[in-house]
Amino acid sequence: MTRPAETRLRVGVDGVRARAVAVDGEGRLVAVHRGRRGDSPARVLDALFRRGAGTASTDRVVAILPDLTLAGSARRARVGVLRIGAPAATAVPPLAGWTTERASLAGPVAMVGGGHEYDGRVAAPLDVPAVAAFARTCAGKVDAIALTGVNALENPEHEQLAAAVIAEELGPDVPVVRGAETEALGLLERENTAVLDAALARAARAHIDELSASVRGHAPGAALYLVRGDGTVLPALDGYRHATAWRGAALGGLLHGAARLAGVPSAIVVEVTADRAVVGTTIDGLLPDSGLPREIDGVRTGLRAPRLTVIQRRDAAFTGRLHAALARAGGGPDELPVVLVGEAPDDLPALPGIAPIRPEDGDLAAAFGAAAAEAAGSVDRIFWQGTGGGQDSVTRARMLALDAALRAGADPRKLRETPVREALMTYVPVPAARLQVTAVGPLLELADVAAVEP
Amino acid sequence: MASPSVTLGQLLDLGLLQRYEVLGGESGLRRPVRVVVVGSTVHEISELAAGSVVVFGREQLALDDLAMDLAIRRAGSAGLSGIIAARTSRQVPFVTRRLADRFALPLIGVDDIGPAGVVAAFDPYVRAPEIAGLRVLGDAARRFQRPPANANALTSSLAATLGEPVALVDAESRFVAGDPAVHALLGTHPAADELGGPHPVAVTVRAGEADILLQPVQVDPAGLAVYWIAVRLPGSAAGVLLEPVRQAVAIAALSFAVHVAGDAVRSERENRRRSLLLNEILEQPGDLGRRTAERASALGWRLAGWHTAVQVQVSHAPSSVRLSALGTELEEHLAEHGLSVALVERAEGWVFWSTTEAEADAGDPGPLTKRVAAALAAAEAEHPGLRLCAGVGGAHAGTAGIGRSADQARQAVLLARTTRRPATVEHIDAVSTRRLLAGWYGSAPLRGAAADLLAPLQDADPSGELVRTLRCYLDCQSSAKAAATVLGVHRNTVMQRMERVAQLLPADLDEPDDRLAVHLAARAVDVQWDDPA
Repeated sequence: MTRPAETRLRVGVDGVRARAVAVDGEGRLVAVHRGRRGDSPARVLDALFRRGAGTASTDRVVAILPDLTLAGSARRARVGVLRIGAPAATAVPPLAGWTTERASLAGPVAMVGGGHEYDGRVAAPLDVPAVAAFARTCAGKVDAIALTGVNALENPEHEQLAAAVIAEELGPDVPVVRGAETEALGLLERENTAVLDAALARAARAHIDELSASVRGHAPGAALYLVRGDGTVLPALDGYRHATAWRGAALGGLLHGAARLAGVPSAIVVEVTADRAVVGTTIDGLLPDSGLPREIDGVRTGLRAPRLTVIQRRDAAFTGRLHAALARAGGGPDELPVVLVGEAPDDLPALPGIAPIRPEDGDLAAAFGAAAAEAAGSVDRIFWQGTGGGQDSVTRARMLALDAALRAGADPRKLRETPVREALMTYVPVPAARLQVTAVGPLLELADVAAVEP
Repeated sequence: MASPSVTLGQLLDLGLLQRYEVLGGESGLRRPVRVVVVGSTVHEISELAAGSVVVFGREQLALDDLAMDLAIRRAGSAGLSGIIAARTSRQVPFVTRRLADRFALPLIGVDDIGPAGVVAAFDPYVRAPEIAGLRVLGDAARRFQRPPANANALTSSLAATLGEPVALVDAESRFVAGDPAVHALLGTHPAADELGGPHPVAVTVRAGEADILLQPVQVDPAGLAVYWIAVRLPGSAAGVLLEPVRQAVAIAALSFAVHVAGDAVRSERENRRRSLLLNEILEQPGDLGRRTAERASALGWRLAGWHTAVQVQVSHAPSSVRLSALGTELEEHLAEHGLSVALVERAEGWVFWSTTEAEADAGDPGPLTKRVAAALAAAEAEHPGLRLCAGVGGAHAGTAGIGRSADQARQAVLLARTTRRPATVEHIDAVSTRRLLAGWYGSAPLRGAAADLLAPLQDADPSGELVRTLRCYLDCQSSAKAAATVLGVHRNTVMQRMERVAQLLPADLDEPDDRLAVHLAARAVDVQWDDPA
């Protein structure tokens, strides 16, 4: 027997544009706060709560935080970098390709014996004494640790073991970021991401703690999430160790929010500000992948960037470029509606042949997108087909994606899945395929959970 | 109507798991449990029916497993009522516990036991919660087939049946046996003051953090409660499990009532025997049959020697005091104060006597009187509102002396009843007129006042003629003629002197009070008192 779910508020905070909204279960705006650009997210949230958004009934607060960069972060941490992969994977050492300046943030760097084969078998036993010795070298010198194991996506055992050994030596206050926490094929990409995340951990903690103090103060029962670069949620506790994951959240949240404001599941979204226009696409809650890895501070990471086109307003060929971008963005079998949002959507010249939707409160699109954000989990890795054949791998990939979505907070009963994208790898000696699949769905609400009557 | 169901909290309270720990989601312990199943994989959790409790073995999913978060999320979404999993040496991450709290999903850590064993242990109670009740009821019925030997046997047996502490208290909420902590807990509740009221019924009261079940023990089904059984209810005793616990306690109360009633019958029979024997002795003291004398000596009664009888009566008793048990209590109190005696029930209370070889000083019954008074005071202290009194007879010799002293004791107790003081004990000699006067005469200040009263007569007639005439006149019940005869003067002389006395005295002899005072003064004034001072 279930009782009707009480109306629980979802609060979205756009920490970049200083907007905050409270949305009820049916997606109606209940409260709005428009702050000044530059206001901290916690301040914007406080102001919204002071407007009397029902704090007791707030189910969750989802926040878009400003991008953190090494250059812009005064609080970047010194990072101990450990690679588990000797003797197989030592040809390119950690931080190769980083600028000298960037690389200077690293503390001790070490490569120790260990790691796995492509199919998860142990390639070399983990050199635990070497891991412990590395941890002791780092003691007192670093603020965070990044460690990456070879083929750790397939088998994270050595990474987990090494993380436990390091945590034992350094205590719980030094965050340990593992490479396999990022779903990326390349060892270097995972490693770079882990190092960046570790370097930004202190700054991330400061941002999140400020925000969660505000949430605790106003709505102690609410869960805090951050918005990822793809517009889905990241639980705040994971945010401490994954500052790079929320890069680009301002746009990711905006794309989803604009479509939701317009009342369409999929759309081409144009954000128009005083000096530029950004064109992006949202399809059924997901942002099409650009296929390119995201570069941060000139470092290639394991994060996937969504397909976006940025056109400067001062560009002489602005209108032409915009048209081209819109045509590219809609490049699918279905005609997608165009939604115009941003600070200055009315500045845009008329676009022949296109009747854009201009939703009310377009400036709130990102905050709205945050409030309504869903949880997603993606898998993108190579599956070695053992005895079970291809179907087994596909099932496994889907299961992993579902699990990842659940960990992000999704309700298992309401998950949607993208079709599994399969790329056969004919250049390796065993049958293998790269499988990509994403599961996405609304967050699990507490009201749904406590619905069993005695 | 919803079928009765148990909660995980109740199941855990049954003590079927040796060692367990609620790691999170405590607020979900009140959710109903529909079924308990062995878990195989995390993904399968979503397929389980709402209200399930899933038990994982260490091989399937240990508590520190990274997949535990997933399990909690899936279980929360599917509306499960709990996860039971094996503990490992590693601590369960704080995040995992918080997650369980957030979803109000009980996360129970157990030592390594087979999940099938847990399911088998829980299953009967989940399928038919009444079974847990039947176990308690069956146990109670078996243990209380025979009445418990005493209060301690009752409380320990019942505590073993219910697995919860039990205390026995009397109708005035005093601790009798069992767990003092339960009694202390009960003391904090206002219901403790109402145990002596009419129409006692079983009730559950909330005292502090615990629920206490109070079950009256009634010898007479329509009467007051003799005792109350107090049980601290376990958390599991709610809903469908509460009724069996109630019934088990009721069985125990019934069984104990049989014990109390049996005790009462036994002591009543003994009392009757004693009073019949005493009647025989009192009626025919001179001609006791051999049989009677034998029975008396069997009871430890001595017929020869000097007997001092004491009669004890109840002047006022609150309804909560059981008079049938009071005799035994009094015997105990008297024994504590050095009087090992057998009380014999009489129509007007209880009588006993002490016997000495030689005649005691009749004017100094002090030790006996004091001891009786102390014993009565002790009994009164135990029962607020109870008033007792006693009378002590004089010492009389022989078998007939018992009756004589008992008669005097009965007279003395009449006087004792007229006073309102607690634990009054009167001695027959102390109420004789002579002793009254002796008390009065014994007071030097009163004698001084008497001398003052008669001073005008002494002044006017130093020979003392006037005072002697006054005393004689009053002694002769204010008859001038009789006084004249005693004094050897003419009646007119007496009348003339009394006129003079009336003029001189600062008191009016027509007033009874004045006359009595003057009479006493006149009788005291010429006596030579040798004060100990």
